[in-house]
Amino acid sequence: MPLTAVKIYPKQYHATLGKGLRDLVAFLINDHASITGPGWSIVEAFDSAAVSRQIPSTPSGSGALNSFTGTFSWKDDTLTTDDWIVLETNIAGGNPEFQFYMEYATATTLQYIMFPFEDFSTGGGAVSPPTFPSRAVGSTTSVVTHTAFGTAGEGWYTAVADEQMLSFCITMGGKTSISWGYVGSIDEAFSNDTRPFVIYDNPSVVIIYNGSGGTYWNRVSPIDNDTIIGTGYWMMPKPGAAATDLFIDSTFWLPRQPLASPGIVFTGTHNHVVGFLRNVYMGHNGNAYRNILGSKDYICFSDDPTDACIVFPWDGSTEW
Amino acid sequence: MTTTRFYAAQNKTSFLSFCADFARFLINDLASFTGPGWKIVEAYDNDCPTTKRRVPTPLDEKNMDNTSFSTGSDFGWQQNSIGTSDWIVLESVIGGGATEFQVIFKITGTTTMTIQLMPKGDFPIGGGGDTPNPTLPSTTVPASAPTITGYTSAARYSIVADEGMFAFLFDALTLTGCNWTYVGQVDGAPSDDSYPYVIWDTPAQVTFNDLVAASGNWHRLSPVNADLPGGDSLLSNGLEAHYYQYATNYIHWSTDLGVLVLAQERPLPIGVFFPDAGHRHFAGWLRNVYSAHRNMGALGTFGNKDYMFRNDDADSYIAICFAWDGSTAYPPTS
Repeated sequence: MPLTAVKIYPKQYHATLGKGLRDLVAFLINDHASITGPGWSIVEAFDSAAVSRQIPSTPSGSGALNSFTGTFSWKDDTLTTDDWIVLETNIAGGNPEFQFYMEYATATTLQYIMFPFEDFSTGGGAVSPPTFPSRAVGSTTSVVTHTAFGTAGEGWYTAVADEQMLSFCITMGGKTSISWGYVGSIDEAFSNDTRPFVIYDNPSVVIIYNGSGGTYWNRVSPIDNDTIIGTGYWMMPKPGAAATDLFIDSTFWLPRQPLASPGIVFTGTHNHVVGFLRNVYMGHNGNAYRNILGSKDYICFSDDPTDACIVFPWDGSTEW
Repeated sequence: MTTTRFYAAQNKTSFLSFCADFARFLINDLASFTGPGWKIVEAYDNDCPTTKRRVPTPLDEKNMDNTSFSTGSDFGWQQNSIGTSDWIVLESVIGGGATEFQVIFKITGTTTMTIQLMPKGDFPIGGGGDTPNPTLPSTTVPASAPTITGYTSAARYSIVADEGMFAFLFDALTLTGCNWTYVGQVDGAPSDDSYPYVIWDTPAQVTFNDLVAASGNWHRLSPVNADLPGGDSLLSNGLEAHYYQYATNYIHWSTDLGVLVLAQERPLPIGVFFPDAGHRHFAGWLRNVYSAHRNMGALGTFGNKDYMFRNDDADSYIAICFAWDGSTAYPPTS
């Protein structure tokens, strides 16, 4: 497995979803003024007001967004709804990349979908959305809709990312005003699973859900590298006959409890264990809606403390 | 960071000949093997005509041939002539400010050994005098020592170990002819758990069966009051935590998920959890020991021999899986 280095985009306030999206993109392509990102690259972007698609002359790193020409929303930080961008990951050593489409769909909704075969066709019609590859994966074949808050998507934007994965959440003041997403690579995939890229399709469920209906994970099947499957469950540890749960039992001794790496498993014809999420962990529900773990080494969040919370590595300093 | 070391499927004609190897392997003093480099604390040779109980020469605790042990050329642990009633205490080398734990291995018969864990590393040197049963700290776990059984005839002996754990597998290569154990550190314990060390108490059960029988095979010193006056709560009901999908769909139990997709099987981490009232906690993850699917059979390797599994009740219960050396066949071919 190629070495990766997690980068943290810690709790950045934005007044609108458009501002938040552009700043998150700047982080991902490592073109942010103050936060080091994982160095993804821009494949193509669309400005709906200018009715213009552009491929930047500098796809990644400092000045990348400014390398768009003319009046262009992604350069000018003037995103309006229907603007979109396609990014590509940045893993080393000739390993497969994936591409990630993000669209500022409405004032409070982001839509996204993954192209695991990095086969987005640039230069098509100046429309939103563009034509997706046949093996695009979101909520199976549809885009994932991710909701922000307030009347314009105001909130705190937080992300962890590396060369080949992104997980992020958007929060506002209320305990349940939170949404999150994950797209990208999985650790400990089978060696002959060459594109172990997954995407979470229910951003408003902000827990490690252990119910029977929790098929929130999607990917292209590694069995035939063609079938899009959307029956992925969370996989998590649990004692057997003890009839309890390590992460939702209030009688646990909890000065701090070990974290666990949640995994993903698909059932049915294409059943297989994919592997484990990278840079995202599960924590005890006793941490409630938001908490800091350790010396700000981790943060956790949830919209329902009857289930295990989601944990991000953290920068050791930013309040949460 | 720890480094995993292997003593893989060694063919020994008797259990006692293995005993001549295991301590040397753990202290990295066995020819042809690289061990994790533990330290000798004290050893006892019941048949020694001179000094039966010896402490290694200072600064030479990783050398079975240290001056103290070599003196007189009559000390069984140095002479590789281990016998019944001999014992040795070894200490881990985790470093980084961790409390090192100690383990006492007592040879109790021509095919048997008991193993106990001293999580505070406080074995009293010389305590109890010259005896096969020296004085042990009150926090020793288990209080009643489990016996791990080897064989009088040829069998395969394996050790997977690092600076802070070891796992044994003794295997006559018949379906139920095997014993195993795990002793040592778990990964992921919180920093305020000063003694995150566990030990398995049923070596003759070479399978994980907690999903159907809460047998409680894991022991440890409770972290809740371990550093308080009188804090010696010994927990004996530890259970494994297995990865599952939802409800009771355990990955390595489910028949549906037993179908081997992509012609590979995968190991899954094993957590250890203690349900005792007032001491209820999730201790952490076994290191170098995993689970494998129950339908894989009694023994074998997978992942280019990076993993080996053994199961004395295959199809019924989940297999025990060791990290492996990437080269040794199992079952052995010669």
